[in-house]
Amino acid sequence: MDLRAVDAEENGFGTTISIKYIDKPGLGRIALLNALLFVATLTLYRFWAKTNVRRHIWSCVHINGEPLEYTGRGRELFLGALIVFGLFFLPVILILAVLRLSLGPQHPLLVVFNLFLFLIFLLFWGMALYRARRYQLSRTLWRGIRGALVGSSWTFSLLYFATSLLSFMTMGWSTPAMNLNLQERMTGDMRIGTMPFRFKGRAGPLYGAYALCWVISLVTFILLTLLLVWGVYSASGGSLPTFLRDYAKTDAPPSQTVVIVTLLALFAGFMIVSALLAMIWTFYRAREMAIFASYTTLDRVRFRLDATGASLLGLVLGNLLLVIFTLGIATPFAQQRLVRYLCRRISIHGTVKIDRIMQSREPLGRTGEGLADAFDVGGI
Amino acid sequence: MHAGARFFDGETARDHAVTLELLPEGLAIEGPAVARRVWSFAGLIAITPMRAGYPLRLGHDAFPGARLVVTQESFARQLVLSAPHLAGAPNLKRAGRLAAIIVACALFAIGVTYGTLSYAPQALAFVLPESWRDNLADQVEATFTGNGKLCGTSADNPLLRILSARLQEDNPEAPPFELKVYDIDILNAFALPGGRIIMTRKLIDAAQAPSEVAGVLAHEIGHVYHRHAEAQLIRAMGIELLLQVISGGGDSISGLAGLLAILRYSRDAEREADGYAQDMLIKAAVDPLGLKRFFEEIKKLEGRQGSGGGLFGAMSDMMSTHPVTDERIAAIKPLPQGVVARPVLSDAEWAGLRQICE
Repeated sequence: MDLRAVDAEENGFGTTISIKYIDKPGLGRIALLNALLFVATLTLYRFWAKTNVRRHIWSCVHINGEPLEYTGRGRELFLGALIVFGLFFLPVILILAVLRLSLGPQHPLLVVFNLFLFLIFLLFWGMALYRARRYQLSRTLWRGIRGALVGSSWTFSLLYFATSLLSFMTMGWSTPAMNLNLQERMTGDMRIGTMPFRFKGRAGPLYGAYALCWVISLVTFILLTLLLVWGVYSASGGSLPTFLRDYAKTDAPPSQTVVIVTLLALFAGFMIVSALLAMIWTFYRAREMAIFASYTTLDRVRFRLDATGASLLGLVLGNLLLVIFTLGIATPFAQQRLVRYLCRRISIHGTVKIDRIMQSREPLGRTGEGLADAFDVGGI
Repeated sequence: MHAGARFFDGETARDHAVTLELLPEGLAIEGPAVARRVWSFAGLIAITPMRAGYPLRLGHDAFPGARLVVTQESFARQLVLSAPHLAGAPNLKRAGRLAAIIVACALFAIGVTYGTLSYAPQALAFVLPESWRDNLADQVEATFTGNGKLCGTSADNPLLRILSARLQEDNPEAPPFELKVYDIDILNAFALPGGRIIMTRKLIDAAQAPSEVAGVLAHEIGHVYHRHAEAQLIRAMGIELLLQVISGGGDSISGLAGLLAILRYSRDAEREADGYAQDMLIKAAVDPLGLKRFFEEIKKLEGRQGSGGGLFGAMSDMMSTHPVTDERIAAIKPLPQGVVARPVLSDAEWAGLRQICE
C-alpha cells in the first residue's frame, strides 16, 4: 500500500508541473454518433455533440498524472443558444423583415441598418469570446478544482471592438500591440481555483514577424494581381486596351463568355489570395502564440510553447483536409490534433505551491456560450 | 476489504494518499492527512464510466469537487458489487423517461408549428398594409419574370382592360387587381400579392377561345380574393424563421425552393379559387365550360410531356403550381338554365389579344 503523496515537495519550493496528452479509444464512436444525430435532429444535437467531444478530449489531458474533467452539459449550451436567439437574433431578423417589407428591398435605410448591425456584431464578438472562455473554464476541473475567468466581459468586448477599429485604421499595424492587450486581460483574468495566471511582456518582439508577414502579404497580393491582369490580357488576345474599351462600352454589353471568364478569374484569384494570405499569417500566429506563452506565469511556473510556423501550418492544413474529406465527421479528431499539438509542444519550468490552489468561489452560471455558438467562435 | 487510493478533498489541489475500506453502509476513506469519512454508496458518481485498465474516478453527490481515484482493480470490482450504478450500465428507467420527454416535446412542437403555419398566415394576409403587399409583389414579380418582356398590363392595354372589366360585370365584390401579360417561356398564370395577376403568352396561345382565358383569369382573381399569395409568402417566411431558430441564425432556404413553396398552393386553396371562379363566371355570364375545357387541355398536354425536367421543369408547368385533378374538372358546372352566355371578347379583340406580344 503506497501512502505517499505523489507530488513531492522540492525543499519546500513547491511542485513541478507536467502536461501530457494520453490518447484513449472512443473518439471515433463519439464522432460517428455525433454526425448521425447532428443530421437527424436538423443540427440541434450540436450542443450535446460538442459536450461529448470536450469531455473526451479534456479527459486525455493529464496534468501531473490527473486528467482534466469537463463538467459542462449539452443542456446548458442549448439554453444559452436559445436565450441569445430570443434576445438577439429574433429581434434582428424580425426588424429586418419588417423593414424590407415596408420599405422595399432597395431602400437606403436598409444599408444604414446593415452597417449598424455590423458594428453591433463586432461589439458583441469580443463578449462572445470572453463568455465562451469563462464557461469552459468554469466547467473544467483538475483534481476537483474549478477554473474561472473573473473579469468583466463588457470591458473585454470594448477592448476587442477598439482593437478591430484600430486595426482597420492603421492597416493592421496596431494589431500586435492590441492583441497583447487582449491577451493580457484574458490571461490575467484566468484562475485555477483561486490561483491567478499572470501575463507580462512587451509587444516589441512581435513586430519583427508581423512586419515580415505584412510585407510578404503585400508583395504576394501585388504579384497575384499583376498575374491576373496579365492572364486576362493574354486571354483577350494581347489587346488589353481594346478589350477594356469593349468592356466599358455601355451600348454593347460584353458577351456572356467574357463575363463568365472574368468572374471565374476573379473568384479563383480571390480564393488563391485568401489561401496564400492565411498561410503566410500562420507564421505570425505561431510566433504570437510562442511569445504569449513565454509572457505567462502561474505562481513560480513559466511556460514555453515550441510553436513554429511550419508545424502550425502543417497542423492547420492537415485539419482542413481531415474535415473536408470526411464531410465534417472527423472534426473531433481535428480538435484533438490541436489540443495534442499544444500539449506536446508546451514545456513548463518552475514550481507551484499546490496547497495554494484552492477551490474557486466564482459563481457557476447556469447557461453557456450562447453568443459564441451563434457566432461560431466557441473554439473546441 | 482494504485498498490504497488517491484522494482530492475539493478544497485544494493537494493529493492525498488514503486507505479505503468497504463497509456495509458505504465507503470509508482515511489517510495520514485526511480525517476518516464515509461516502454512502447511493451518492457515488463515476466521473468516467468504469473501463478495464483505467483507474476508477469517483465523486460524491454530497461533496462537489471531491475526487477519489481507485487504481486497484480488484477493489473497484468489489465496490461495484455494492454500488452497481458505477458500472456504467444503462439506466433503463431514466433513458425511458428521457425518450418519453423528447418524443412528447417533439410532438408538441410539430403540432404547434403545423397549426401555426396552417392558420396564422391566412389570417395575417388580411392585415398586411397595402404598401407591404406591393413591395412583396415587386420582389416576387422581378424574381419570377426575370428579363422576360412585359407585353401589356390592364392599366394601359385596352384589350386587357376590356377582358378585366368583362369579368367584373355584376361582380361588385371582386377585389381590385392588375393583369399583366409576360412573354416568358412557360405556360402558366399566377396571382401575386397585392392583387397582381401574371399570365404568360404561352397560356394565351394555348387557349382556344376567350372564355378559356377568362376562366383562368377568374380562377386567379379567386386567389387574389382569398389572398392566397400573401398567405403563402408569410408561410414561407415562417418556415425560414423556423429553420433559422433551429440552426441558430444560419443559412436560409434558397430562393428557388422558397418560390416553389410560395406558388404551390394547397388543394384547399385551389378548390377555393375554383369555387370563386365558378361564381364569378356565372354572375358575369361567361361560360364556365371554357375553364373546364382549358383544364382538360392542360391535363392532356402535361400527360404527354410527363413529369420531369428537374426543378425548373417542375416550376414551368401549370400542373405543378395548379395541380389539375379530375375532381377539380368535374366540379366545374355549366351556366344554370336560363342564363345566356354573353361573349367575352369580340372576334377582333380576341385576335388582338392573341397578338399582344408581337
